[in-house]
Amino acid sequence: MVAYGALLISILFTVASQILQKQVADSCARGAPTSAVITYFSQPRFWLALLCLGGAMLSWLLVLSHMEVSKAYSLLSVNYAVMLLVSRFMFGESIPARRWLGVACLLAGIILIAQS
Amino acid sequence: MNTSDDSYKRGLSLALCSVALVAVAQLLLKFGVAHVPLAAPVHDFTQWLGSLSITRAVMPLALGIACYGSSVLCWISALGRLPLSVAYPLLSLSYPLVYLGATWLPWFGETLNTQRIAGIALIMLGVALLTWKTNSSAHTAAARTHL
Repeated sequence: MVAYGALLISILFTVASQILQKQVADSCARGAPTSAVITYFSQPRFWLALLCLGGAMLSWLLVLSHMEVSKAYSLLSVNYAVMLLVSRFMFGESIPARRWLGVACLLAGIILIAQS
Repeated sequence: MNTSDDSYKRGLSLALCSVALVAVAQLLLKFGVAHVPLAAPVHDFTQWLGSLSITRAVMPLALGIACYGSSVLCWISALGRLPLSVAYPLLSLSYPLVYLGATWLPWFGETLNTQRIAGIALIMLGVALLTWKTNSSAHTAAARTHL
């Protein structure tokens, strides 16, 4: 149970970091390209995104200490499904049917591995 | 024309490098964390830190994080040279690589089983379906979704 709890926390940190990175990238998209790097560093969200990645790494180490790496790493792919939902419902991107099929395949694989 | 071909090939090797590095990173992290005495009571944190094995815990963990960082750098340079619909499906090669490493290398002792192989095949198919010929809007360079 510790392993699955830590996995959930790691995934939440990763997703939070992705959302923050996307917001930083979007806010910089209209700026001058030459100063893009500096505009990244000047945003608190960029540093928050890095902090979330650190949290994701620490909780990931906790997962690895309680679970086989071949199992844990495969389960991490649930991130793809979560990010698809985030891009649909938070960023309003349209998702073609093929991608929903991809998520279904992915989840079937994850269930198989979680039960192995 | 020749230069764009070279750029594509370079992109491919960078993406494959990134995939290999991420697999090595996961195996190093697993090896390192297996040698951290998490169950031992921590009365004095600095003493506990000092008790960690340099060669078995600290160095593998540091190397693992370094490999992970290099993998991200390779990935970003690969994305500049490859269509995303080629780059992202390649990323799913990391699942069987980690699995093969954990089962074939002598330090991990994990076992192959058909259910897990089937699960990994489904995950790879899922990632391919999710990322094949995508529009650039859905995947920015930052959108690699996990460690």
